[in-house]
Amino acid sequence: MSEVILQLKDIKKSFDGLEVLKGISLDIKKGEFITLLGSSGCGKTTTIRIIAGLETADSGSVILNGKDITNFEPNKRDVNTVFQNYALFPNMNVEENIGYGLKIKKISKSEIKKEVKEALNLVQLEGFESRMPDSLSGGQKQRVAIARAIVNKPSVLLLDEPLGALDLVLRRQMQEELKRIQRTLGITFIYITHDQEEALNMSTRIVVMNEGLFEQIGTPNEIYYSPKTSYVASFVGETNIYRKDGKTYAIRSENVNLNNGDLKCKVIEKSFIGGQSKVKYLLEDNQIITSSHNGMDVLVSVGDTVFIGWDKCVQVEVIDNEK
Amino acid sequence: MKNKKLGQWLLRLPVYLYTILFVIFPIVYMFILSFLTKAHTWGFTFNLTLDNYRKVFSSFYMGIFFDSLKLAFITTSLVLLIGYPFGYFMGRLNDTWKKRLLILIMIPFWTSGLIRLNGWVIIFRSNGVLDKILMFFNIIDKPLKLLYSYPAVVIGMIYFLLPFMILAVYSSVEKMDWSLVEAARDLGASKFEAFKSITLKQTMPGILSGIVLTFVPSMGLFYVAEILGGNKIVLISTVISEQLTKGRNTPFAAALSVILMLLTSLILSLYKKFSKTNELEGLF
Repeated sequence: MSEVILQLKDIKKSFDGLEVLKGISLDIKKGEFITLLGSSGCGKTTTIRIIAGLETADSGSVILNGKDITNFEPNKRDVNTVFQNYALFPNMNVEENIGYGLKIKKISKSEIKKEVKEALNLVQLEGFESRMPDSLSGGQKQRVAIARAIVNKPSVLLLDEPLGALDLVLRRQMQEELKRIQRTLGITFIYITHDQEEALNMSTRIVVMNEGLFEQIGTPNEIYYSPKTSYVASFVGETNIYRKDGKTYAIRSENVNLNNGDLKCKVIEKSFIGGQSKVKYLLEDNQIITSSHNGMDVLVSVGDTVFIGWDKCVQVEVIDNEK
Repeated sequence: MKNKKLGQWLLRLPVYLYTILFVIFPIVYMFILSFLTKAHTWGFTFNLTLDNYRKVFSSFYMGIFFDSLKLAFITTSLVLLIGYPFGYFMGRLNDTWKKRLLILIMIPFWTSGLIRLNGWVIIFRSNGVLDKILMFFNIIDKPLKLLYSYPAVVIGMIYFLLPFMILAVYSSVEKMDWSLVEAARDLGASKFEAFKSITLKQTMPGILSGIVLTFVPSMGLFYVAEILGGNKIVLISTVISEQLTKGRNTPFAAALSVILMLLTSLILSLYKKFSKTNELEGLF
């Protein structure tokens, strides 16, 4: 499991003079589920387009299975992509769509039929062979797009916000299915999302991207509990950034205690969303802290003056990069 | 409620009127006329006859039909061969260059077609512009005598019809979803395979309407054949025009037109069938 399958080495890319990737490097091991997490415009899509060969890096290299593929055409790379808008071929039915890559590899018709059937089983769309893409729902299109990519058994599968267009229920369900598919096939997944919950739930490692750089790389636990920078801390989970004596700390909102501490503040906002309540406080030095409480409503109202605090062991010192 | 319905009806009225007056009526008129008899002096008499059609199906006129179809076919093929790549690359340019090229394509339409045709006469005639240039560079040593030849007619036809193909292809390329080509490339298709299986299929409506816009008029551009081809090249549209003017045989001209129309529709339906497309870019 520890064998490195894909290496990115100091990749840089600019569009019209605007630097989108400012030198990113990453080693990805076989079978990993890597998530690139970041807000839109941070360069995550450009990163996987460079891996897929749909974009050429200005400098740096991409190494797949020990081979430098930086200048390979997209069709010569052992990677496949699940596109954000699905990009299903409208003039082909589901079977032809999924079999497209195999047909190009000149695999026999009966073999293609078999492989397509297996792929459809894996994404739970048995019997959909002759349907046209137009007649499918968003979730079904997504499954076909995934089947079309995995049927080629690539070394690395790239997924560009594949669940972005689906509703919440369907998204949760597809998250679990993607995890199952990834475990079943053992293919390395590189997954793009701006949804931190999705990233925490699915990945073996998360890469937090910010303005063309990898801000932090680590397991979901590391990213969640030991963020290195204030950007990572505020992007992942609900985190307070607290600045004191020239130092910056990240404190998870669930670790903030109400009526148990020495920071005097005023309640400025309160919300109760079934099962969880959130309270926003204005400190005397004008910093804002949020606390969240599970299970019950808290007995304070807007305008109250209260004391809050937290255990010193839950505050993480971070590099302040977003003043 | 009633007023609203009346309003909608009034809005549609011009379309109905136009279609009845300028499309349906002339076709019905032409169809009936084709079964009537030519009067001795002028016009026609109401004697029903099949003689016109018998004449049309004689080997002489069938030969002319065949020649016209051949020219239309050659013209359409060449126009497609030149126009498709042109429209394709134009559709891939940035917006500024797209606009510039569109203007360049439109400019010739601001001048009368007959004047532009006479421009070609000046270029093609013996010791004309083309001969002089080619002789100056020692590519040829005596005039080509291109005017009044088959190639001159073909070039003239291409010149007139190319813009329609370019614009039809261009508008379908503009609408292309390029992520489909990327997906094909990602799945292992070479540039050529992706073009063949994706781009060509996606731009088929443009190709088809380009063919319609080229093939149909190329059957009727008799003045191109007349001016650039002299009397050597006789097209069915030339015959129809002469029957109407010099021959004063309107029923026979009508019969020729009916057959020409049927033939053109038949060929277009065949195109449609073979290309497996039901939509034509901007036409249907």
